[in-house]
Amino acid sequence: MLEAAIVTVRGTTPDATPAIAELDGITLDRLHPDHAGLVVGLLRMRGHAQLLDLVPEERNIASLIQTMAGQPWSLPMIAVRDGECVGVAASVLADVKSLNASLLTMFVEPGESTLPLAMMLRQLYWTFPLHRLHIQIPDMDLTREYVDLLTSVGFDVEGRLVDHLIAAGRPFDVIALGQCRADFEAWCDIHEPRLRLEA
Amino acid sequence: MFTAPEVVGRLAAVAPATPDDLDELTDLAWTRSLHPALAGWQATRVDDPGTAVVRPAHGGTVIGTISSRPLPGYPDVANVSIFTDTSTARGGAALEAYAAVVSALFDQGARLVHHEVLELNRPIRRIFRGMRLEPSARYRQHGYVAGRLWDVLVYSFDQRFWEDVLDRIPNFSTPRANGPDLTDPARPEGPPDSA
Repeated sequence: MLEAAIVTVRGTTPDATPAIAELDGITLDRLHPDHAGLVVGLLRMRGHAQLLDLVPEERNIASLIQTMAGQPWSLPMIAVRDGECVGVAASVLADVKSLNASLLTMFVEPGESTLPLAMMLRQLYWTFPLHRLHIQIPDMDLTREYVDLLTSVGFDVEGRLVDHLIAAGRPFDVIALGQCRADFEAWCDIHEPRLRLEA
Repeated sequence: MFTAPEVVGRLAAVAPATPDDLDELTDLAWTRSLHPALAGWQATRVDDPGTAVVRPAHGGTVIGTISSRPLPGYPDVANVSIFTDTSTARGGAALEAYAAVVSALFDQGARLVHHEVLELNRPIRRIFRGMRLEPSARYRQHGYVAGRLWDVLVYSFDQRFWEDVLDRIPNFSTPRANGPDLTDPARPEGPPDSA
């Protein structure tokens, strides 16, 4: 009887999908404190200073990367193409009860970064039992390209935090975006089946 | 950092939490944890100056708490959560306490008051609807309580809106003779939230 039960269980065990750390010339790697200089460079580009309220000093950023890596369900990553950093992302402030985390991300060319961001999202959902990722983007001309990037990988605009941000002495709304695991899987089915989480 | 006010009204007395309140607040936290709309168990804190204890105006056991903390990443935005034990609190006491705390927050320089409310928390949503406050965001499947994930609604308002609320509902702490009874749990649901 026991043997039969074991055979049945084996017969229904699904195949595990592998990690995907390389695809179409893009490589994901762990973001290390030694990458702090690269992150400082990113922070000084585009509207990134509005995305992340961080002091752009290497020592400060190295310490932050070290701290993030020790937090629950936090996975700081760097995406590289042809030996050059194309962007970074990390899950932070995980709520392990509600299975969600906040996403931080910056890219050298956000308009061309759908695939590296999708690979990073897949790595987060693949690594942790996250049900949902969320991110808040200031509603400014400088940062609108991030709303476009995030919606291009299946995030939904879930509303706005009215006047929450003060920049240059005036209030700005902040756009709230969220993505559930099922949204990501549906996005993969349509746009990039190679990143599907299920075999 | 925001500080709970010390106010005695007609129905409620509000004061900053102290270590002497710990036992009562822990009991209240257990009651709170059994309520599906209130995000489960949360450790009791009496060292946070933003935690207000609410008692009946004439004294007695704690009937509720109101917590005001800075919203991370947004200076001068106060993230406020409120819990009243409806088995012991008189209707209106919670609103009076809430009004005292919100007015104190704006007096202390808060730019906005921000609330995150589980979609199943109909009493709070009903109160906000009475204030003509609509949610500006809906975080999908964001909070796990009562055995499943629920949407979380985000509300916020500034001092001008708050003063308008006080003008429109001058007796905010108690129902007006001919006005809306914001505390009546039997009041029918309005239209679905637009966010």
